[in-house]
Amino acid sequence: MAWLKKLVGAVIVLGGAAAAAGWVLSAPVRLDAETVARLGPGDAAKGKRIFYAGGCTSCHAKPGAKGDAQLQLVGGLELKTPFGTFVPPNISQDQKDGIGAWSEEDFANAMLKGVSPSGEHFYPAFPYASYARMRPADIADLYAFMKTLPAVAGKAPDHKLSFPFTIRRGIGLWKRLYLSSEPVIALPDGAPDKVLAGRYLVEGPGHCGECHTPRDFAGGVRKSEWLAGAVAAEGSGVVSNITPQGGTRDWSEADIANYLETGFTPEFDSVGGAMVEVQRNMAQLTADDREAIAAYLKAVPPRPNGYPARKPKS
Amino acid sequence: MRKLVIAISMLAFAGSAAYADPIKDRQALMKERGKIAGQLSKVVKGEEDFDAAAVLTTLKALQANAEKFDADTLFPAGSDKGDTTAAPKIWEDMAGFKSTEDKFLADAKATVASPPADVDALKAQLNTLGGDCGTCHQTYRIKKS
Repeated sequence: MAWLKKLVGAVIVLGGAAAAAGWVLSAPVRLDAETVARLGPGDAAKGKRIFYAGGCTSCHAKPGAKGDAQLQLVGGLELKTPFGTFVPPNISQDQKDGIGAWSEEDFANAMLKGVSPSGEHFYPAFPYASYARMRPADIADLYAFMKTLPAVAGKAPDHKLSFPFTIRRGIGLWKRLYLSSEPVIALPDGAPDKVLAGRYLVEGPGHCGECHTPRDFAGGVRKSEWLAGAVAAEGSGVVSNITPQGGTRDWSEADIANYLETGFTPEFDSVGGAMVEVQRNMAQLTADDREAIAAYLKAVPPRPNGYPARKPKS
Repeated sequence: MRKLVIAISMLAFAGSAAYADPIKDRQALMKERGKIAGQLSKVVKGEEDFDAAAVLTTLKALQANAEKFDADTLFPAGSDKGDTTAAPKIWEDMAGFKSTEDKFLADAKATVASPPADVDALKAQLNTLGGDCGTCHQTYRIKKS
């Protein structure tokens, strides 16, 4: 029976090693000192643009809030996904319930690394996998703008997730696969500034790929099908293919920019679904920003639809 | 003979069913609405000159279109099935659905009651109307393809 003892021993040792490795690999990683140094003092006026490019209010305002109430970032919306229900938290300036007590560095760690001030992983329903591509200076500006917003008391309910997604530590492994500050689409040398500016807005703060790209079994964005459209992760229906092979293939850059400004398609249909809030945020940007987004969307690789074809009449 | 009567009545029934197709009717109404909005947008974008009388005619057409919208006729129970992008939410919250349409009708009427004097005024009105389109489509329409 000595061989059995050896086997059990080996299993315990290997299992222990795997657990230790998993623990190390899943540890939250914060920003390095060099990136923190590049944050600098933020400019609230510039941060307002980033705030609308990111559409923070669409998830963090009280559900159904209109007008100025959209700047009360008290949280509470329910995002019902296959992983469970995510509830965006209070990110108002409230010291206790919101993020009023966060330092600029805390804020940057949340946005770029998905790590909370207490050192926990955030769930990537908070789209830091996109925000990780943002410039530190823009994070600082956004922080300064958020400081000008009201403090609103009240904690949003916790997420309601099913096992194994309840284990936050596991997100550390997810981040090793999917968290990167590198651009998704490598553009050729000499690509126009407009396209580069659009890439930054779309891939970074705008986080368009989070809904417009299909995800793999682990909930990571499939970069090989970037912006190809997807079955909606939340709610019902599909999200459009916005590559040059999608439903917008016949739209000119001016059509795309106009859609983002007014909510009308070139056929004079109107924006719908979750895109309604996004379009209202995009309308707050400058014409230059909207044109840059349009130029980038025309420059991304064309892809077939990332969602199944519509069923024939039932 | 009996068979013939049944066949004829079945044909008649099929005919009337095809005629009263609320899904097609509501899609036609929305298509027309989009076309009218498109005419206004051409003026706002500067593709066409601002002609107050022509704009007013178009706004009146928009109001007429909005008045034709009758949720009970166009969205009867059961018309959530078939080739439609209408969201089930319409039938779960018919009162809410009707109130978004009422807002659109009220805003369309307001444009006719105080017609725009220049492009900027028209732009502001079209923004309001376009916002109404979005508000309804946000909740009550599903994108399928």
